[in-house]
Amino acid sequence: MTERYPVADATELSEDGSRVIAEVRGQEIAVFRHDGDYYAVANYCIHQGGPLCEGALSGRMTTSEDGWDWRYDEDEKYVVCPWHGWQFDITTGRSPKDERYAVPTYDVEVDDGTVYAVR
Amino acid sequence: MLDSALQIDEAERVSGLADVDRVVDVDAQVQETPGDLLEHMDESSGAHRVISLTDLHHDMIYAGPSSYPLYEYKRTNGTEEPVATDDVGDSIGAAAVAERAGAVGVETGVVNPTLNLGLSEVNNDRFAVALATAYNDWLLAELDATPELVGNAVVAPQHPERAAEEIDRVADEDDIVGIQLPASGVMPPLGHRQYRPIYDAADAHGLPIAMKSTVGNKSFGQQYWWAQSFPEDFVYQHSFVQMRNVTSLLFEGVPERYDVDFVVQGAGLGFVPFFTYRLDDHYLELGYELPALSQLPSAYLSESFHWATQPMDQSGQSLPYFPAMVDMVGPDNVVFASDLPHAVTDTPGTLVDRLAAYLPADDLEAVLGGNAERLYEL
Amino acid sequence: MSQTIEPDRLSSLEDVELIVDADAHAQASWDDIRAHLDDDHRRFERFFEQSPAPGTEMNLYHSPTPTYLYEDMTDGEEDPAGLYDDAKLEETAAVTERIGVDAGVVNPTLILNLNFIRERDYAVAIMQGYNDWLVSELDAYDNLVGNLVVAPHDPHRSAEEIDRLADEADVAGVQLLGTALLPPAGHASYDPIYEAAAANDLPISMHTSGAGMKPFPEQSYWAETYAEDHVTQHPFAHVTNAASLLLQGVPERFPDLTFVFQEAGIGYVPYLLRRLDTAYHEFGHEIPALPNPPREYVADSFYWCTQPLGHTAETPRHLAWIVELIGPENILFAADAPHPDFDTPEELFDRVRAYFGADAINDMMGQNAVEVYDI
Repeated sequence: MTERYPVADATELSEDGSRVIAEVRGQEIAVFRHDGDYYAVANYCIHQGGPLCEGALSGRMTTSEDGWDWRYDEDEKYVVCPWHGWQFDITTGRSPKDERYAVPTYDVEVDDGTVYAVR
Repeated sequence: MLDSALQIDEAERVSGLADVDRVVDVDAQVQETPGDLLEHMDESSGAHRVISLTDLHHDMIYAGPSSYPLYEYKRTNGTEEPVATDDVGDSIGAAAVAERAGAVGVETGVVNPTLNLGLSEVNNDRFAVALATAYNDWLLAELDATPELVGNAVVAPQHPERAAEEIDRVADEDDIVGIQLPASGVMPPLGHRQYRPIYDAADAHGLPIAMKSTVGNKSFGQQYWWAQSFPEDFVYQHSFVQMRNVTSLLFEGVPERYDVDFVVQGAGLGFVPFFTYRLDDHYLELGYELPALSQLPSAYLSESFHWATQPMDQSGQSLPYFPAMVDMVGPDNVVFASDLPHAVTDTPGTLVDRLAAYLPADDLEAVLGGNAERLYEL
Repeated sequence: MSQTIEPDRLSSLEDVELIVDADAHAQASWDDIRAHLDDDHRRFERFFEQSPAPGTEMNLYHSPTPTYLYEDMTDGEEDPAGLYDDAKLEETAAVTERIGVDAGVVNPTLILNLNFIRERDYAVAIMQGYNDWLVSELDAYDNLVGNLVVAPHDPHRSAEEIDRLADEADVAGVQLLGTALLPPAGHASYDPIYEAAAANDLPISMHTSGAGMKPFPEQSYWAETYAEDHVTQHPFAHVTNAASLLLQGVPERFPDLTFVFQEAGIGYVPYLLRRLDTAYHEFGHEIPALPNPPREYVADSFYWCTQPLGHTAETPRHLAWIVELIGPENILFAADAPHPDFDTPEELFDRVRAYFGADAINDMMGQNAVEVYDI
């Protein structure tokens, strides 16, 4: 059964790129504001247990059509774990490097100025 | 712990080589001589002129430090006697190879060159191109009369466009089942964009690319230079070559872009598991600078890379090292190779001895022949 | 296929008696080293003061692409120290504690590529300055000891350096850096270093570096990324040095000497040992320096640090198999604190705890290091 837990004031997450890390039922969860939306991600890297959501938000390096040149996609929706650099898309929880690797994500509700994580 | 982890029930085992459906050797070798090659070379070519004038082919034509065929004459296999029975100058053609392979239970052999394993170390690109073509023509003539053997066509990485043309030229021959891209001495390493024509051609013709390593390696000049003895160089050069090239191939995205099977030969299996752990680790940590891949390097290795068993390396101990490596690499990706006539210990019988107690019959049959059958469409 | 999991297994890291990081790192700066230059080397102060980038000018760091850029991406309130930042031993101690390690044996960071330096006297000056800095810094940390660096450019001066500082309480061993070591470690020119280490009962640790290895040009020149270079650089250097040491008979001539290999993990070791077996068996005539097979010397005197273990998560028990193929007696856990590619103790413990008894686990996690470094 899911419940919603308050994690932040909406004013703390008014800007894209902002984040709040809170504890919910013994687990740390980060809520990010990205592209006008809210995304909640477990603050725990599946690699070696590092504080994933304390890492930087980054875009993504891709290749050009011919597969040789490099391009940088500036949509900064990947959180980079500060321990070893593993990346996860905050909107899906999945690693852009291998889609089998993912961290838990949670629904977010905003109600009357309070941001809730649902778990 | 390891032994009990790997041992299988009697009922699941192959009881002997005779039980095995079909043995395919992905690395039987002919020993071509410069004389053999010159006969198939255009006499009006400059390459023919120069190569025919010199006796010192190892030093002056295949000008890498590699003394690949020569090292056979130092091997003693633990006895006082050298193990090589032929002279380095002898031509060993397909018929002789077929006989030796047959004598140890090999039903079908995929043939590689000997001398031209050093082709990547030929300094003069024109010679390299000419030697590759001459070898392929010599090989085709040899293979005509030996139904038990098929072959890899050699190409010179020094000139990728001409290499692609050579692949186009011989790809439809029944006896050509793959490409040999000699791994040692290749610079830059094989992932570099300049080799793309070769991968285009191999992909277009559905031909696997075999990469066999040798020693005395121009690619690792410093390590080679300071090795005080042949065995010192021998210990590491083979795997260095393969690891350097495969890292390059993977990180530059070749298996993402091309549908080509790679067969890594000459360095055995033992380096593969740790190499895989390193590749995956680097990819996940430094992924920001490896944009060409969409999955773990190990996933590409699993899909498109095949590792030849030779050399199994001396076990000499009670621990089942070789069975552990086969298990770790995954029997689906392991293919038997003898390196005949050069290796003396890696016969199908020896392989069965090492693996029968540890590998279920299906997997053992796959390693000894089934995988190669599929890979080379035999 | 059955896998027996026996009793007498440790189920938690808390049950491990002592966890030692056999490869922790100090982050000394050029200022730190310069401040400790002695009278013989004070003339180098001017260089360190005036050069905007001493390391660059001495060819110390080159990399195909910037190293560990994810560190530079960091967004946290407290920036963790970068690879070359001035954080002395503070960051080391902090990370050591955070990941649950009890003690560490410290190697350099800034000067890991000391062997790249061509000018012998600079290398010697840096060696002396770093070692004096190290000894003074270690005083403040009860749970850290360190390896003295030597400059292979000058084996005799290095031997004097070992004699000079061997008796310091916090000196646990000698660091003979493995990268760009030319000639490789088995060459007779290094005998003075081995003699001094043996005489002072100090193990020789060999730490490698990851990229831009100008003295090994192919690997460095053609690598288009740090990642491409780094995959092979570390294990290549160790394999070259280990083969050189063994086949040139160094363990035969210095039977009391211990060698520790650091920063390439352990996965390559079973393969290396079997390659050496083959070489010894098939080309024995060319290996007159070894009356016994290489494997015996390795069992007696070679130790392998576990970091980085690599990505073993997909098949975790395979790492246990690799440990068995080497022998847990010869394995030292290493975290590599505080470097960006560190391993937590769990990274090793979780993979092996079900397959080895409590003694073997305790040995790998710390007791072997206690013995090797006499901590």
